[in-house]
Amino acid sequence: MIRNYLAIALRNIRQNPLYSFINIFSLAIGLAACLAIYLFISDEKSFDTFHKQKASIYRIDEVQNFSGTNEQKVALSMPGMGPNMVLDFPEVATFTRFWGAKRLLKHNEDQFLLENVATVDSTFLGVFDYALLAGDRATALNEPWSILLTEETARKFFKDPVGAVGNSITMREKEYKITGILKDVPENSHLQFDGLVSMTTVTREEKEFNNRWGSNFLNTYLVLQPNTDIKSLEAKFPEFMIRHTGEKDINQFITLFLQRLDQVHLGSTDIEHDYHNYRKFNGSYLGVFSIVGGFILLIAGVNFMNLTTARASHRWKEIGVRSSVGAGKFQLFAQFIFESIMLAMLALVLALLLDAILIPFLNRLIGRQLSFLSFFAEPMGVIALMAMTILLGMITGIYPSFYMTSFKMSSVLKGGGQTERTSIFRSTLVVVQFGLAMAMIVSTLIVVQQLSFMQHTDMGFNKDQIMLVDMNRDVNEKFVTLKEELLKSRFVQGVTASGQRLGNNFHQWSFKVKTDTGILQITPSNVNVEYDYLKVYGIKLIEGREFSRDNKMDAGFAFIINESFAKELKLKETIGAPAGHSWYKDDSLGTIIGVVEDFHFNSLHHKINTLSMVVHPDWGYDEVSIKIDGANAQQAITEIKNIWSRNVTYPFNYSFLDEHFDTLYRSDQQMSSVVTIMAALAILLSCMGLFGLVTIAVAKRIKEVGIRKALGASEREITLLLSRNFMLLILVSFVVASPITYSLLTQWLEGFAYHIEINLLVFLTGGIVALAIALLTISYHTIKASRENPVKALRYE
Amino acid sequence: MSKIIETHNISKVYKMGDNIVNALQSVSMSIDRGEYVAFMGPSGSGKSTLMNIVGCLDSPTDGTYMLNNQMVSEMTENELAQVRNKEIGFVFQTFNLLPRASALENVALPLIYAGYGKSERNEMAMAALESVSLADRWHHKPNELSGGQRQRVAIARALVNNPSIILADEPTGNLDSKTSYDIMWLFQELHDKGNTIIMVTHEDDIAHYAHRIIRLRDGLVEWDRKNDNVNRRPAEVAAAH
Repeated sequence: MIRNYLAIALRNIRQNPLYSFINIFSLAIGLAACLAIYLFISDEKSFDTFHKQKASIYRIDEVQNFSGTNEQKVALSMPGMGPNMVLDFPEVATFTRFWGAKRLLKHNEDQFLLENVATVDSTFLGVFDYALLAGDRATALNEPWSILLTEETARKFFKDPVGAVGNSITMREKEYKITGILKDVPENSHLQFDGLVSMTTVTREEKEFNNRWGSNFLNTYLVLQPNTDIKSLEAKFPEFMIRHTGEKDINQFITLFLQRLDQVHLGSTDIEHDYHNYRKFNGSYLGVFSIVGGFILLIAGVNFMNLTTARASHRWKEIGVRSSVGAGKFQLFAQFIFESIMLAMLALVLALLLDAILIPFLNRLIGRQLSFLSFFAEPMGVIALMAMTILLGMITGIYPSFYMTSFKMSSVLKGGGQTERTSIFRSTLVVVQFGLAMAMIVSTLIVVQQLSFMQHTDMGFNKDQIMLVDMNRDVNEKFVTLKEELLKSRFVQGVTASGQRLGNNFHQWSFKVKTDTGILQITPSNVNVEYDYLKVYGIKLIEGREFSRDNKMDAGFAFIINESFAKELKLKETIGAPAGHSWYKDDSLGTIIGVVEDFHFNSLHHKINTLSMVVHPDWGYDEVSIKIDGANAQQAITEIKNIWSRNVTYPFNYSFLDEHFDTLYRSDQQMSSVVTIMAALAILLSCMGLFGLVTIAVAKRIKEVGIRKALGASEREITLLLSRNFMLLILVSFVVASPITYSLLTQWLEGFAYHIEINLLVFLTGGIVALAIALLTISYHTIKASRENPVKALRYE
Repeated sequence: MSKIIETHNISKVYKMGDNIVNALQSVSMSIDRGEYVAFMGPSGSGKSTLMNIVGCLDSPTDGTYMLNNQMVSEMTENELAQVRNKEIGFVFQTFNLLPRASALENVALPLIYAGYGKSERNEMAMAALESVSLADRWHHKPNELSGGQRQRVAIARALVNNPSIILADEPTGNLDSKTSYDIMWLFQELHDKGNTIIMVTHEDDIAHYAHRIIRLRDGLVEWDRKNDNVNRRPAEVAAAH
């Protein structure tokens, strides 16, 4: 029986290559898209899953609500939190802190600037399961001045990385003993580091470090006891904070909350100062991707159902003959289901081939290392894939199978079959299909517009051609000379420095301003800048003056604030108002010397916060900002590197500010890429389905076309006649899809503090594009039919 | 009488793979307004090809064709469509009615392409249905009508635009004998009212309802003669109507 089914199915494929191609290819595209999305989602969801205690690990985060600043969630915590929570709460089994920083490591003549050398508690390797190649994970982080290097880092200094244990390495003029070699940190770890330093190094030097409160600058992870009630534990935090900070109103400003480890990578989009969250991704986009993948598969399934039912009449005779020789309805039903499963399996093979070819391109586009081979990594994966495909074949085959086995045998054998009426079901499917395609076209247009808005909105400063180079103490000390040398280059247009990089929310520090009524406490964002910061970045001064080297008080006692801050202060005269950081004495405050136009120092996801800028060379800067001649970028880099090497020993490690901003919108950019690809696939699949349907519809109406032509219908009238129904369906799709799409896109845009307004013309454009593509698709058949000699059609029976 | 159809040396050549088929070879003829002509001939004689050319459904490979003083052999496809609409009423062997349209809608179809408004179309279509005694069946779909009734709807459709000629291709081919005679008598009445009728048939008996018979063989006119022995409706049948 199965062999018979197989033979019939293969014969059908051979006899109807066009429909078989459309069916198999569209299912294959649908499956390939879904598999790619599945790989993407699995990759994102795999983050931090390799830690055995993952379900019990939580990160301490804060909601900060300081006066004069926007409420914000931050991933930072205070040093005292972890050690005291483990003492105070039986629910907390253990904790570890993670305090990462860029560090220069030296061994003999070799020195390398490492992106992240984290100071962690001795419990770190007990909490997290980062593999150790050498050393004892129980004791490796116990002693002060102990360091663990990743294999890649160790290889930079030692020929045999594993054998490096026991050697010393220098960091910040101190000798550290290498107590272990870590396997390189997996790509799917939100914490990335090149080395780990024992926290006892810090506590040995600063005895009170574990009871330090006030500043939030590190990450704390807790391991909770099984079955801990998170809400009731969080409810204890306010009292805990008052007890340890000694501030009764601390909870007005800071609310602690726990974030489960699996939420850190995917659920931290609204969390700021989240410096150690590698490839942070907006988890809600995964839902969008799943839905989009489902849509694509649905469109492909619709093609299958539509084409199979539309071509049912071609198989009436076969059904009748089989029935007359004794085939039961169930057997016929099983035969058709078998055929659709077989087509789905063929589609799966094609889908895997497509993925094998296209996933490397996709990886390049979205910056991932997805591999379709991961489907075959486990037997269960292969089985699941097969099972899903069989299910897909069954689901898409059920309706056509019911439809085809519902004919009356007597009429089938007479050649009549069922009366062909306009199928409401088929029309509905076309409406759904084009509605989805249209929704995706419109979504693509809006997403692209929003991204373009973000890329091209005037940020209020110049972010192009700004090169950022890491600084250390040595570079800070030689900064004045270095700057002079750099400015001599014809490729350098400006040089400045800052303590924090634009594009991130700057740290909030308490600030005070003397007003007529007393001292006003406020917590704006703060940044330590060099004198020429405003000039180099093109930040517009609207009141007062810029920082000046000539004015000695400008070093530490002059503040330039932004417009939002000025508005918040509501002073009659902002310029000249006494002001300073919280630790300045009330009688020795500095002065507000200028107000600048608001500029987006954070990404456009966030509203502009109040900001204060100060020049404080003693604190040191983190990065030099060099504005280069964009027309000669390569020469500029080479020359700057030479000047750098002549003046300082610190490695020349540079990046560009516009690239940094690109990374801030990476999630959005990737969503845009996925939606664009999916929209293209949706329209391609819909058109393939439409092409097949029109082929069938025109073939069925060929005689009518002949009659109408014989009676005087022109080519234009015939084309219009054949296109009318499809145009009507697309119009219905437009009407149904537009409000739903509008609502979803509005929700998405609300995630951006600064966003475009949806122009309804975009919907019209989407509708017109879909209609135009659909008309183009069907025009091949409609125009061909309208030009056909009516004699042929009238002879057609 | 004025000439309504005039062909001069028209030929039609079909290419079928490597073979060239001369369906018509230099056929010249003329038909006067008000004539009732039958094209006869065996299968493959070229009678259907000639009818298609005369009906402006096809163009000759060579030669000229004048229809009602218009040189149709040089017209474009859309111009031919207009000529078909205004000058020719078709009656087909297989009726060629639209299955989902009512009798009235089928009859009104040529009027749509002639640019008439809906009410005028319905009025004219109703009158045409009355002329074939089917006014009471105007709302019936083709599958609700008998073969003879369907053909009468087709005839009403052919008449509705008041064309210069009625072109009937094997009009009785799908009908039983009695119904065939009914249709022939209807054609007789139309001819008596002054309509020009050209009928293609391979049945000698049916051809003899026409007043002139042109016999074709192998794409050539074998003979073209007046029918002195016209079949007419028996007087008692006519009286019964």
